[in-house]
Amino acid sequence: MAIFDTVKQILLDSGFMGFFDGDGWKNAIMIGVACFLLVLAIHPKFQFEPLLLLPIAFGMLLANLPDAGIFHADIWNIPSLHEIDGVKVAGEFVNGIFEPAKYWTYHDGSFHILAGKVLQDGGLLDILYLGVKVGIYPPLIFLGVGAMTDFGPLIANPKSFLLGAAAQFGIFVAFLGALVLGMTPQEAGSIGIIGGADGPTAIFVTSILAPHKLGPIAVAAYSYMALVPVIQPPIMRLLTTKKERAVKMAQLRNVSKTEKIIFPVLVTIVVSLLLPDAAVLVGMLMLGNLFKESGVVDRLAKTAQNELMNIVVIFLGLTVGATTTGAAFLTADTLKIIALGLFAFAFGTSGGVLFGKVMYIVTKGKINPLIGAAGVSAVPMAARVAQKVGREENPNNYLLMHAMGPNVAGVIGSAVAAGVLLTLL
Amino acid sequence: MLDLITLSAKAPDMGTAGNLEKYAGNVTLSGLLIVFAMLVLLVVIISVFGSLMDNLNGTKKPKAPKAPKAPKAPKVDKPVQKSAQPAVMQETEDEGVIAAISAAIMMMYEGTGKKPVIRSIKPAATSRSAWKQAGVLNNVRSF
Repeated sequence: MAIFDTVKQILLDSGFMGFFDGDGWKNAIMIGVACFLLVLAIHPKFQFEPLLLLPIAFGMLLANLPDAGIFHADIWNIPSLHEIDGVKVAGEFVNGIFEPAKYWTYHDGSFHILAGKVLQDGGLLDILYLGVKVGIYPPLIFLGVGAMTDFGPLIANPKSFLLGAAAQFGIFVAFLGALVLGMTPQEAGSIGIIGGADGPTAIFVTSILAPHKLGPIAVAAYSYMALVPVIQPPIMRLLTTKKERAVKMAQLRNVSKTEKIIFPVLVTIVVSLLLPDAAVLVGMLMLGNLFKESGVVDRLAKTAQNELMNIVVIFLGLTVGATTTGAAFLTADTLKIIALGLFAFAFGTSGGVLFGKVMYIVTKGKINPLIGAAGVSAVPMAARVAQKVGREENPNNYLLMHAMGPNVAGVIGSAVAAGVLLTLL
Repeated sequence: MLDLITLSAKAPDMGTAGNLEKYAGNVTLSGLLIVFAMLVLLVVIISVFGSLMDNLNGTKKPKAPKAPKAPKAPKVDKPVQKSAQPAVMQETEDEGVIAAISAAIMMMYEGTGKKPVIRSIKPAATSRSAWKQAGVLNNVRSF
């Protein structure tokens, strides 16, 4: 009997019982979703964005293992705010007695996480998640992206900036849609930013404006980025004529090294002075680019492109995956976010293509409107899609370098849009 | 302008549908406006900066590329390279080959301070027959 009791106790203490406790069944579903995403990342038939999808899916798996203690969603739930003796305090009333929040404090009009407490009580992913919470990982990703980006096509054809701006249209349309569906303005802004097709920017904005929605928004943003080649071509074909798609663009002018060096400094100064909230993203993007273009800090450029980027991608992927705990992810709001994200992405692509058509008319047919679709960030996938759709009409048409202009302008545009939303909301 | 927008946007009274519409419209329009204004400003700055650099380097495109002087190329010529140097060549040439030759010439001169001008590109006349050419190639091929 003693052995039977011991086995029974082990089973009762095991994680399996956690699936039958309260919302535990949702964790079981999320483990299934995580395994499905792992197949999509690893199987040779799919391999959708494995660099991102694999850590995200595994983070999802780890966070949904009951009682594993690797990630504690309850630490990150923002507590209620109560007025005690005329002072606003974060906490909850339990059985009529007020208990101050253990991991949060409220002052200067906003909630603040007590990082020391998290380090003391948190699991591995809680501690890594602090990097998302305090907004470190997205700017570091931007540093790496900057070190890998050639802004030459954009400098050679600065009008590409306009296409990068037009493609941000989806952000604001989705913002309106989310408000109509009953989201708060902060949630609506975070959902809208999915339309910028820029994962780190979406995470950065959401971690500030609507941290409780980080999981579904990050998953939606990265999913749609991976699906660029599927979502964009039908919209591009629908909005353009055969004649427009076949336009061959003139060769870009040469850009000198001096221009490439001055460009990141100039953009940082202009954007940061006019929109300080965008300074951290744009600044890091341009610092990475200056590492590359200056040619005097090759070691730093290579570190930003490879080691640092890879480390941050692992941390970011794991912790974003970890925010998708069953109770937080399996809600009606997640479905709304996924639908609105697609909406944002489609409108962003349409905005870029339609503005491309305007430029086609203004320039008397010198601009191929397809390159407007690359104005959503998603570097370089969106530019590749423009190239592919353009070649379908004319096999001798090489739009790739022309599309890279709006594509990298889209990165700057989405960072500016993020700054605007952070300022306004 | 930004401060005014911020003030009006940050204090939304979401109590009524009318206020929600007004607030949403305010954020959307001002947001789009600021994004466009910022990127238009960058277009202007980068364009001015580009022209300045072209002038400083003395590589500004001439107003009209001169017609080639070569007597053997009387047909209509078209520029292949919009960049620094005016390059004109026969229309009958394959554009890919012309682009490759132009790029190779530009690379050769890069860093030398010289600014080559490609006026025409035409197949080199060879004095050797195909058989002689094959023989020469066979003898000079590195082993």
